[in-house]
Amino acid sequence: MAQTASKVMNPQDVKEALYLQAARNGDRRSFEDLVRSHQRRIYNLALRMLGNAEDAEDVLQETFLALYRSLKYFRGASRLSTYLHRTAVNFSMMKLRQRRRRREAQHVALEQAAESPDPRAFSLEGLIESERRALLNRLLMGLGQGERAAVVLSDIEGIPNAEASRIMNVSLPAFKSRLRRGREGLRKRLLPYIAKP
Amino acid sequence: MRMLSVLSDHLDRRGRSRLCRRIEEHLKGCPECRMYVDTLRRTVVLYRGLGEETVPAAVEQRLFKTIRLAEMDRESVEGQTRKSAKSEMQPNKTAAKRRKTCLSLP
Repeated sequence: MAQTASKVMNPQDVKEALYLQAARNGDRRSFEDLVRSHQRRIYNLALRMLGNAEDAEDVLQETFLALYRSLKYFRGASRLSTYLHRTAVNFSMMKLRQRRRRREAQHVALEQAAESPDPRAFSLEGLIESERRALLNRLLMGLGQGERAAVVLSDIEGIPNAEASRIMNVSLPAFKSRLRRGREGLRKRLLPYIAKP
Repeated sequence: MRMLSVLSDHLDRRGRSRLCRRIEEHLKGCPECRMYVDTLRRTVVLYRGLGEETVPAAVEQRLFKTIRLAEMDRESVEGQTRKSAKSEMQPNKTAAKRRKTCLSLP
């Protein structure tokens, strides 16, 4: 009985299962519908992880190609969104490792920039929206990969911690620890902007 | 370190658990922890409000094009596999004729 109850799917999951089945049978439109309903979150995840649109596009393509190639084997053991997020996080981390190897010096410069917020700005309210977003993204890029992924999944994407830990393939305590380190890193860097005098 | 971890977790907790109440009680009397939680909360709120970028139309078009190319690749591979399986099951006439010719040699 308990097993039956745990297998009850919500309407969104049912719809996705039907689209997946149709896509498996070669219906391209169904696959494109699946892409349309998930691409925005995957693109944003990659954008936050990698910090530039070009790499985010690569990860977006690789993620959906991976899904397309594994359609035959994808039996819904995990939710589609969990599978896509996990794939996108893995591709993003792979890209970061490649980038680090290629452009070590540039990466260090980026980290240094993130370490030193502009001392002339004392409040975030004083910044225009685009500057504020650029600052937040820059500070995010200053975090380590694991911490950044935890903050992106939990605080930006709003994914519950238990699911986010499955996406990152780590235990819940390990995930929480990364999230805490990530938040703490950002808090320290944001302190000049957010601490009340 | 454990205290920082508890305070970070506190931000994710909903409802009024006994632990939440104990933390709130502690915060009332501890300006340092209050300052920490306040700035941590503001940090999380800032990132939660970062918003989503729209996928540019050109990016979406390129994505669908890539998927179509993968589909064509798969069809072509499947076509070749079917063709070679068929040819293994039904040897072509030239090969059969050649074999026949060979067999008819003295």
